[in-house]
Amino acid sequence: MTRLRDGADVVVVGGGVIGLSTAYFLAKGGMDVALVDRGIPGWEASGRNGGWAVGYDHDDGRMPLALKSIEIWKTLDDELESPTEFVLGGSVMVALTEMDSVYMAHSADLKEKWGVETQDLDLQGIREFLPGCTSRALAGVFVPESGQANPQLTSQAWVWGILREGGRIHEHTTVTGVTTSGGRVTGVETTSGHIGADKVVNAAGPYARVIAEMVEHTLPIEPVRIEILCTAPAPPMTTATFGGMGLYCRQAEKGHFHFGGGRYERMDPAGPAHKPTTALMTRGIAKRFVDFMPGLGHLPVLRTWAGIMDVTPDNLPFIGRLGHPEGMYVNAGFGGVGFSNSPGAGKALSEVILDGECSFDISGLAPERFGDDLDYSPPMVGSFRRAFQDDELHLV
Amino acid sequence: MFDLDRERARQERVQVAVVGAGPAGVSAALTAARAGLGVALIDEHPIATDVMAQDIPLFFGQRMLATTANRGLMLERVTANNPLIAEAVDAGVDVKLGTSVWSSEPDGTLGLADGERSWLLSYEYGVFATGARDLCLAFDGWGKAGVMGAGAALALMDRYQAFSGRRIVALGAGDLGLHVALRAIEHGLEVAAIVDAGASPGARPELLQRAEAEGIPVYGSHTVRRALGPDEVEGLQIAPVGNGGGGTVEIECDTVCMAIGMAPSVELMYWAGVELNFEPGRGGFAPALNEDLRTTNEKIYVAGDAAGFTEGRYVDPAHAEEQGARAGAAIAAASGAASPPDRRGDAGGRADGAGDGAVVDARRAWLDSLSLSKGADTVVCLCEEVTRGDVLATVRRGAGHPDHLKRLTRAGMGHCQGRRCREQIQMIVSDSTESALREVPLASYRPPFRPVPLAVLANQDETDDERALYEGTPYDEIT
Repeated sequence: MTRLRDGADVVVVGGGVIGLSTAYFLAKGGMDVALVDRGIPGWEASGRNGGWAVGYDHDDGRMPLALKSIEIWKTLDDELESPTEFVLGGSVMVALTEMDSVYMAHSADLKEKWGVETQDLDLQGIREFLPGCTSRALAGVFVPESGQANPQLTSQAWVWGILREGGRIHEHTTVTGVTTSGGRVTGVETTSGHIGADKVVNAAGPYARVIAEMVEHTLPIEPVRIEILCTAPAPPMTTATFGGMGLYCRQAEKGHFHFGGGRYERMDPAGPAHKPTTALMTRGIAKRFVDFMPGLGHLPVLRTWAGIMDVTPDNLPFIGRLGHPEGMYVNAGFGGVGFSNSPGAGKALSEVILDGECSFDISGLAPERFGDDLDYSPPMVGSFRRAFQDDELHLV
Repeated sequence: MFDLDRERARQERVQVAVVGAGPAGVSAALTAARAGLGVALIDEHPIATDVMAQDIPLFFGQRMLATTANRGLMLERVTANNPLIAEAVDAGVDVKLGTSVWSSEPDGTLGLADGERSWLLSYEYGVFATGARDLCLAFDGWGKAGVMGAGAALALMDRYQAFSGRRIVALGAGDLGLHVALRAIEHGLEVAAIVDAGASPGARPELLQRAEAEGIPVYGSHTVRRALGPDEVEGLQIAPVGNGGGGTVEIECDTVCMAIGMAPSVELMYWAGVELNFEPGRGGFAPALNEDLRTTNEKIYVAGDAAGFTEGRYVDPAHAEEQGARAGAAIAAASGAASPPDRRGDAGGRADGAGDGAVVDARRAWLDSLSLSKGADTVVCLCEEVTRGDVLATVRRGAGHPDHLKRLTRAGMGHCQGRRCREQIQMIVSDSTESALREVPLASYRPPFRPVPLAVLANQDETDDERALYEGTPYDEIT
């Protein structure tokens, strides 16, 4: 393997949990890894998400990834030798509308197909997990093999894991170009100079599209902003993650409730890396949560934060090798399930790079599944809902 | 889709929003109103008892009487204590008391809440006269009920007449410490001692003379060892600075009032995108201001202690009143309601206190003295029980940015929203990385800037259109 001065076997672009996990498994597999981040790893959505580590999925194509991820999550603290606060507390989903119920039934079929253990819950059953839940709940389902973790500690744990495995992390380093020669990747140009490598992983999340354009590839990924609220600590209610009313919620280790979702704002891919929370969205999320969990309406909100997700037309990520140039890989487009699927995603791409193929089925996540001549209209808020509003389900 | 413009059209609107009804804020509101502008004057006092119990926005140290729960009575007292509020009402100002500001966006939108509901208000010009908050330093036992800040003590004594302490020790012999001690005497309380880490008291002579006349003992070159008592403060153990443990003195008291300093309350400015710089002579991070007291966000002006804290100005409202009037006049001119003010002789905001490092030097003296007696086990972040040792170890592992520290240790993430540990962590980072205080970045602030209950924060007036945006959201798609 030829290396330029200060080069590496592989450069991972982007220090979110997807890039970190990829870099970790590559380093552990014996590669010389350089990870570059334009800021600080884990600083953006990877450290700002809802902390779900879900052991199942609602999409057939992503299910193997979720199953692999939960398997890794369960031993991740030992693997990385740093705490992630992972707890296998299960997941409770609550249907509050007829539409939720239909969706839940669809999800039940998938879980059965893949052998995911579930327990149906009535209102009383829901309230055993969630005493503050509204009496308007129609039905619920509990999945024991599901968990939660602390996004900030997890991001940091990946960082320390990479360093332990001999990987290098270049903070505050922006990639400005991908260099090629004879149809092969030769490295990346950065604001700190050129890093030679014959493999480059594009794990730039919402900005993966910008990196892809550097090799004249169109990656249909759009940045979409969401917000999360965090309450003051409350007595322990549940370690299960819970969702309903369009929200994803969890009670973290110290008793704070974290929840968000419900409303998204499209961002300009070329715009600022971050946009803070807005009073409008904060109030909308608070309204949803109080409607869902009226018993917790007294809790004060202490903090809010916003993160930007990488959304694709079919809500499925891109994991794998690009046809051209040779040596270019992508691991991005996870939308709202990036944190949850990060262990499996890193594992998957590291296997593709190290072994030539992934040991579990990621065939539905191929980077070029939309073809070359993509007549691509950017995803609207509505298209983010597509997964369950499309022809297959006839819900609209 | 998300139509911000349409939603904003439904918001409450005002030409001038003044946040804070202290001397600077009332003065700004009156000046702008008299120039013919529509003005809203927003002040969070009276603050709900349970918010005080969380040491927000000041370090109340559980020294409020139960009467603070009587909202009607507290409204009367807050109003009676500040006659200019009545004057503002007479001048046509829309005075909103008991109303906290929990968000402040760059486009001029404020998130407000009054204990029962929340709403948004947008302004053309804002005056942030948000004052200053208590500066805290950790020592053994500083989490006991009865350890508090000078700003909180003065608020409870004067505004609320609901101070439960009887015998206090003041830490700090500057104007602030002397002022709080003398106010306590005027309220019929006992002052057991004033303690200062420095050799000679920094207060102005007339305050020192009055303290001497009252027979208040002043311990110079002394520092705090620990607060005594099981849960409540029953006494304070002090010792000479640098004396390795000998010569301790125990002073009986029920309240230890930190009058080490205060820092400008800048969170609303931070969120509105105002440039803030660490300025030792102005008490910490303070806004960049032009001669009109306008910030780098052209809608926003800052006046009073929020523009820069010094002990001398804090105890004498004349300067704050002058600044408020200046900001109000500048807004009247900018909006075309009045001709530009005559600025001859005005000192620019930026120049205020420039070159005066004394404010922060005094804090340094305290911190250095305390570190002699405290070890790695001293809890720096009371809410999350993060020790000085935890912080130091995490800094050594490479987290030199306060936000990074916050993420890894939780220091600053607790119920007081980082108000009690912010400056200490800045100083610990500065010490352990051997960098100047100004080189330590400002730890970020996040709304809501006051803890608002979910049921109050929730938008209960949402329209059908707004509601439709949420229905059918695939909740499982986001984790």
